[in-house]
Parts: sequence; structure tokens; C-alpha cells
Amino acid sequence: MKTIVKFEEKDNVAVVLVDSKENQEFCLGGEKIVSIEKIPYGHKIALQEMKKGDTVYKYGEPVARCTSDIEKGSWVHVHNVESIRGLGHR
Amino acid sequence: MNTWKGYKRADGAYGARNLVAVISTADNSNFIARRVSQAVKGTIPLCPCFGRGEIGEDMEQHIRTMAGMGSNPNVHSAVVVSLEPVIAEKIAEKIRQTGKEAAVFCIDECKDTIRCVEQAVRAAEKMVIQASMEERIETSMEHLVLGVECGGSDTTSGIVSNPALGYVADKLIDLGGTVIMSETTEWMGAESNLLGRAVSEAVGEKIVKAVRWYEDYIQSIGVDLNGFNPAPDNIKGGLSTIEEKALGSIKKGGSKAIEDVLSYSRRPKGKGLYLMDAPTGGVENTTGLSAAGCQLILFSTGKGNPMGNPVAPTVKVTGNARTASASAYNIDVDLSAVLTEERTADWAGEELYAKTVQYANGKMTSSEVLDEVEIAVSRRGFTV
Repeated sequence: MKTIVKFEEKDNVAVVLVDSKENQEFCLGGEKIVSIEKIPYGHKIALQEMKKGDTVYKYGEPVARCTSDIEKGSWVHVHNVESIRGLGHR
Repeated sequence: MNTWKGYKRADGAYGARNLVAVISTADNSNFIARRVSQAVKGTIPLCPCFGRGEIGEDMEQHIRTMAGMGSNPNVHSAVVVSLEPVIAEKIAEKIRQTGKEAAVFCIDECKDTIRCVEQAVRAAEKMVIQASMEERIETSMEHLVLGVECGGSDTTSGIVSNPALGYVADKLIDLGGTVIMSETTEWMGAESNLLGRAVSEAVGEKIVKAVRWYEDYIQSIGVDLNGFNPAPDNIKGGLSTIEEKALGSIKKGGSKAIEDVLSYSRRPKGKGLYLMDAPTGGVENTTGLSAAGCQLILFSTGKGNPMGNPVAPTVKVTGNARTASASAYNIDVDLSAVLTEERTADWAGEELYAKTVQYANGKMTSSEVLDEVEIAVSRRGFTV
């Protein structure tokens, strides 16, 4: 059973396919990535450290911008990233 | 399986179903259409919201969409019920132009609800008996127009089910068929892929213009799209932004050249892959696809979405094993083995293609059996 999916080399996030616990180890093409917090099924894990304002890549394309610094192994979602498009309220 | 079996219509199209449509021209006649349909087995009620008081392009779109569903190859013939005859005749006339029978019954002439229902029931009964004489005959895949749609998306949609829809879309187009993908907001952030596949600069400009219309609208009302699209269920399913959702969403359209961008409910003029500029809500979207002549819709879902179009059977496809198990009675095709058993994307695509042919040949979808009949005609302005 697949437990993690990374789409393109350029991606700095991957998708976990289990309800991940803290300190859960995933194997991604020979490399190890360890979750530093709980990550729900189908959600994204940071494959590297990111700074506020950095671009998040999935499918090899920009999908979001970091709204805070993100540690490697963190849960990446609406609490620490936002859309680049569709921000009509600003 | 490079052929399927459908009901041949007078205009040369083939139906995947053999329905008698009971069309209400506007919300003020829906109760008549529902009663007629309840009384006559083999009919479907097509009951829109609004319709009365629409103006300009919205009125034209309303008529085109209701007539488009009535003209769909899956429809054998139609009864049109209405408060007044003018709009009803416009809809009926467009349906008759495809060679189908269309009969109009109005309160204006029948004078009361009961008499209108009675006369429409008598007409519908004859049409259903007539339709029952039709038989499926073998035809090529070039006579299939497939809609691809997704709803209740989660991350598995972009990994499993949308790529499988894309595989079927590519294969059908290789065999001479036609595919329509819509949901304009979900092209936002995926433009570089789509523009690279447009057959001409003019088509590329249409894609950019269609997305910009939504971005300008979002700006004009001052909202953050996030929370609306992606919707709360998409966010719960792991999708954080519209760009992330869009890049997973467009996989359902495959990889072929984009022939044109159609406005809502308009029919493609040729074969191949078409985009349709339409909002993303499943009911509103599939109404546009069925009115554009799609005989079948492949609907990819992650978290689950039980809706189904009454004219174009809507096949629910998931790559999420939890949804496939928990919502088994709303899911038609389970492709979750791609993740649970590490089956390949090609396996999923071939599996879905084989099922697509089965559903085109008459296998019933869950939403057909459960009698889901909701439609919603899109509009851009207000009624007056």
C-alpha cells in the first residue's frame, strides 16, 4: 500500500495516504521523511524547510505561498499556506 | 471494445438512454412536470429554478439549455409544460429541429392544473409506448460525447480518479469521439498546461478570458475564493488552494488538443476535446454538459457526491478507498486499488474505459436507480 506520493522532482511537498502520527517515518524514493506532527489522510507534508513567502510546488507547479516559516516534516495546509490567485478580499 | 450500442435518432446521433422528457419551462410549472413524470413510467422531469423573469442573454441561455436537454440523443421525445405558450413553443421548436416529437401543454390554454396534467400525461403515455419500440444498435465511439466532471474532490481525485478520466478522454478521442470538460474556476493556476494545448491563439485567448471573468468577479465582490472553491469538504480532503485543486482537476480532461471553448450548454461543432465555460457546482455543471449533448458523464469524486444528471447518466468514480467503502451505494466505479494495491494508472484507465462502455450500453448508474433528477440552469445576472 502506498503511504506517500510525490508527483514531480521540483515538488517541495508530498501527499500522505495514511492518518500520520507524530514522528512517523515515510520512505520516498530511498529518502526518509519524518512527520513532526499529526497529518490527516490525503494532506501534505513539507519535504524541506520553507520560509514565509516561499512558493509551494505540487505537480511541479506553484500551488500556494507560505504564510509562515514551515519546518521540514510539517503539515502543510490552510493554516500555513494561502492561494496566490483568487484573493478578492485584498 | 471500440463500439457501443445506442438508440439511433433522426439527426444521426445515438442515445445511451431512451427517455421521454417532461420539460417545465420555468419554476412556476415544475409541479405539473413532476406530476406528469410520477404518473408515467419511462419519463424524467426536467424542473429548473427560475426561468420566469430572466432577461437578455440569461433568457436566451435558459431556453437554449432546456431545449438542449430535450434535444439530447438520450431523449426519444418530449412533453413541454408551461404557464404560457410562447417560451414553451420556442423550446419545443428547437427540440423538433432534431427530428424528435415535442408536444406543448399550457395552463394558459388548459385553464387549470389538473387539466394540464391530464393532457400532458396522455401525450407522455403515447410517447413512452412509441419509445419502447426502439432498439439499441451497434455504433462507433465517434458517436459518443462524454462529459468529464469532478465534485467533492480530495487529494485522491488528482492522484487516481481524474487521471483515469483523462485516460478515457484520450482513448475516446483517439477513437473519434468527443469530450467536454468544464469548471472554469478550476482552470485557475493550470493555464500553462491548457494554453499549451489550445489549437490556436484565439482559443487560448478564450481560455484566459473565461478565467479572468471569474477572477474579476471575485475581485469586484471582495471575497477570498478559498473556502468557496476549494469548498469546505475539499479543504478537509487536503486541498489547500484553488491552484492545487485546479491542477488535479484538469487531469480529467486528458492530454489532447483543445479544439474550442464553448459557452454554457452550447454544442461542440466537431469532434475531439472541448472546454465549456461553466460554473463548478455539480448540478449546474452537469446540466450544461447534458444540454450540450453529452450522453454520459464521468464524475470523479474523492469525498463523495451523490448527485446525478437526469438526462446524461452520471458515473461516479473514486480513488478513495474510504469513500468507496463508506459510500458504496453512491459509487459506480472504485479505482482505489491504485493506492491500496499499487495498481498502475493504465490499469485504472482501462478499467474505467471498459465500465464507460458498459454504462453507455445501458448499465444503470447509482444515481439513476436512486432517481436523482436535479438540474440547475446557469445564469449571470438577475431576474427582473
